Amino acid sequence: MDVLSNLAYGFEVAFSIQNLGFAFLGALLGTLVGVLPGIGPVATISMLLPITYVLSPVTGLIMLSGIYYGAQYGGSTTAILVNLPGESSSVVTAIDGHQMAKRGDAGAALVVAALGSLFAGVVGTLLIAVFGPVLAEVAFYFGAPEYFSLVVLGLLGSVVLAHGSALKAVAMILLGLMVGTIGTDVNSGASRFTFGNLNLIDGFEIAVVAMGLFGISELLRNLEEPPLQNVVTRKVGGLWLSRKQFREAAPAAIRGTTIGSILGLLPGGGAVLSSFASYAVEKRVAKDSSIFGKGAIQGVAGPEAANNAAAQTSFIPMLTLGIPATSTMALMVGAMTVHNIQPGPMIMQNQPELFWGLIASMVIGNLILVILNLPLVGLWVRLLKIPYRLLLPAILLFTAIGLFSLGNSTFDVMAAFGFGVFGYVIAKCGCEPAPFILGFILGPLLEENLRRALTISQGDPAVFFTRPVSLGLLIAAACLLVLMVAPAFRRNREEIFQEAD
Amino acid sequence: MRLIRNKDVISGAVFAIAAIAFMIQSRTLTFGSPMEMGPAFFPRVVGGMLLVLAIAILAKGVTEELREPTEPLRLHVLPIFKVFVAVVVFVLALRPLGLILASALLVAIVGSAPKDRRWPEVAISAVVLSVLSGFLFVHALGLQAPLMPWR
Amino acid sequence: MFARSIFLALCVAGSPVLAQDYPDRSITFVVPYPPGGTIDRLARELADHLAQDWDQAVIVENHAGGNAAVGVQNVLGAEPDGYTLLIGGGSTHSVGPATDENLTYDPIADFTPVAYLGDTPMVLTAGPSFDAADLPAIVALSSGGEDLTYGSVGNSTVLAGELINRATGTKLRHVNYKQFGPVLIDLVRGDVDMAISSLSIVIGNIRQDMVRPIAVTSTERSPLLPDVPAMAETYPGFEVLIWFALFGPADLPEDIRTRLHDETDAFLNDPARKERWAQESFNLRPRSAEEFTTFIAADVAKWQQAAEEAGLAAK
Repeated sequence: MDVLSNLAYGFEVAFSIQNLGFAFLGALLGTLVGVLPGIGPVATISMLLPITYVLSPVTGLIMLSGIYYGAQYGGSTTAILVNLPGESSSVVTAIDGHQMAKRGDAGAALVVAALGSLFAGVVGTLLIAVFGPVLAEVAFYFGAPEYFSLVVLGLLGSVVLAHGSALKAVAMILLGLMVGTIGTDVNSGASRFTFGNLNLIDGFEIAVVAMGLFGISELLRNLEEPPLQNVVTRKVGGLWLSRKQFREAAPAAIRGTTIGSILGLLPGGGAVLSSFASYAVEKRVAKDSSIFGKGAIQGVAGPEAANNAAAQTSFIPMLTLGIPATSTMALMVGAMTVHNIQPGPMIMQNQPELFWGLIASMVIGNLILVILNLPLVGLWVRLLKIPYRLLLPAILLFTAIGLFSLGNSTFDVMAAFGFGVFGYVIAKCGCEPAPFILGFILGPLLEENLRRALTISQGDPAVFFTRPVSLGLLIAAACLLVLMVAPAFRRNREEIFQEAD
Repeated sequence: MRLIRNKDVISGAVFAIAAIAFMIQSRTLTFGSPMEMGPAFFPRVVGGMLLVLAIAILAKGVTEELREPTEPLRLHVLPIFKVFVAVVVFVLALRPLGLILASALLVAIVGSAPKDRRWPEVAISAVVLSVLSGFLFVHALGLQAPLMPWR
Repeated sequence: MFARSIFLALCVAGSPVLAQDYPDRSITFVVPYPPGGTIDRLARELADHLAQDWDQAVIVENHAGGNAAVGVQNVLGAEPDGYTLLIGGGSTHSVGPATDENLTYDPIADFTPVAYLGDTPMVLTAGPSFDAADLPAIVALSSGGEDLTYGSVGNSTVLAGELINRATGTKLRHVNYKQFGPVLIDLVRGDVDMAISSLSIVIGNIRQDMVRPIAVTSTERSPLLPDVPAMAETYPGFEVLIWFALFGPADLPEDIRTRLHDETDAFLNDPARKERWAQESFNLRPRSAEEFTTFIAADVAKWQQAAEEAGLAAK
């Protein structure tokens, strides 16, 4: 088939010593960057962009992609080990992943994250290769009303992120939503709740909120009650997956890959939803959903696969239409422009070695990362055995430096601390951080698209219901709502009937 | 007094205060109408919903507490304070004293927080971590930060 | 003879920094734009050129997004010794200040204009399902009462839209976006009729025939789109440029300014470089000191007026 021969050609391109070397270098750098909390791939890629100008375009892009994936893999590592998610994609991983680490299962969590991501990466790459231009069309089904309905569905479905009181979970979501409005309002240009503080013009960085709310509050909790060190050494086979774990994780990874592949096609917010959506789905299809939040392996496998698949398929709008989905990708578009390459449908015909070489390097990049990360699992697990009183200052220091590096700003460091204290107090009161972050991330998307949809339709709210995709999503959301509320009614009815008896 | 230490009461109060604060602050922005939403619309509506939930949580906490006393919220303030001081010192010392010294200070201060700390360990880790991060972040990753006081 | 040498000695002793000594340590370019973008790459290219010429490091410091103001503050607070310079432009000195309610500086009084770097025009594009064939058709439709919308990112494009409305009598309605990707999608879907953006961000999609260019906002046609009219052809005097320049804090010594300016002009005048950047629709354009100062004053006034008329002016 045509695709196979193209892929073969691509592998030929990618397998040159130079390209392999730079792919490895990129992956290594990306992992390092991802592991260090706070410093994200954007900063690294921008620092290294000038180097890519002197390389050939294929090599440059291969290295940049390596950094991009490496950061994802590395970010999951810190999320699992020390509850420090640096990006929105690792937030969900931290929920059950870190619990697994606390139970002594850090090795399994890391392995499942790596393997799940590899699977999703390969599938995602195949999708780009075989169905790229067709899948790109999906993006065009989503305008503002559709995004709004999608986010409504996502928010509703993700209420299950909480495993405690639903009332408090919704309250946290709403609070996160409000904190998300801090900054400049897209639709009107007005600045909201910034008090004239220059640092708040763009609102809080996700890394600041996530690391503060998850990592620093955990740190404060641990100062009260140090984590049990001997638990980590208990599991002898803790560096690989048991058969049972594999059987539980594999279907979750497959489901997550499907979800992520579809959502990644939507520039403007699809990828961010993928890990939340996968977690929600896993919790719903699980036989025993009470394990979630305490270290369920599906809660790591699914979301990790989802966000890696989304990371892959989000290349599709960029490569085929020239529409970058994230700022990282906009940088890559910039790198291509420097070499006079216009991403778009022409790219497959005009520069086949670039397109197919990049595709092949995605597979290779994912493989390199697994090869890099799996042996490291042993190292990380051993690191966790260091007495907490020594780990603690290192964690705090790297977090502080990482946060500072986000924008050369000390404000970010203090803000994260503030979120940390808030998280610590509120967690002791029985509220959870994950719903807050969900609201923080999705709230602005919800509002932006709601207002844009109404602006375009000149104030006509029917637009959400007259467009088929939007209507379908809203109906799904309504069904979900009924499903969530119905058991409560059934229970009440049973109680009434029992009392009547 | 028990009521004030009740966890639901406290969290409900936090939510309520936050909601009210956002809603009051949104007065400076235009509200608009449902058809043409202004920047204040969303925060105020969400704030209103949060306030309702906050009151519900508060009420639940009060009724439960009155029925039978629950475990009160106990905060360990000293660790929080130490971490705060460590972070503030780091932030203030970063530019004048450079990354290495600021890091050493942070490690020293926060290293004293755990109950089982040993001073020689704190001192050594302060030196090791600060030099390591100086090399890692500034040299290897190109972070824009002064390393030593005189630069 | 004696008096002249005394005079020279006094001059030398009096000036705080001599042009001959400058630069004797590393220079910092503060770039309040995201890394990897067009202006960041140009700034880095200039930095490398100066670094090679003067054998001193020239560091580029990015302050993207909301942090842009922080970057500008850093330059304002720095010594006017030529070692901390700002790569600024319309967003920091003319368009931005017109709508920024948190503005803390005076774009003219607080800075020394060192060297104009270049500019790129904006372009009005139409989606494939939008029927109007060209600008006169659009003007006719809008003046006839049709509600026409355009998508755009940021304040400057909205103000540009207002200028278009003022010049042509149209009543184009703006729909704001955070990133350009969704603008393209909505444009192709037909949810919005047109888009206003920088030429460089959309040139790729134009070449793929995804969207149709209607007009550019520079006074001459863009060499990349020779068939697309400039607004100024039908509406003389219409000019909207996204421009960038090198600035220093106020009271920068004249000899340092001149040195930087001349070195930058040499950089801009290199024909191969000009051609390369023109391919990205960015026109390198050196201006003399007087030209530049006049240009800034006129630009500030133009955008201030546009903002007031659009109701977006900073209070």
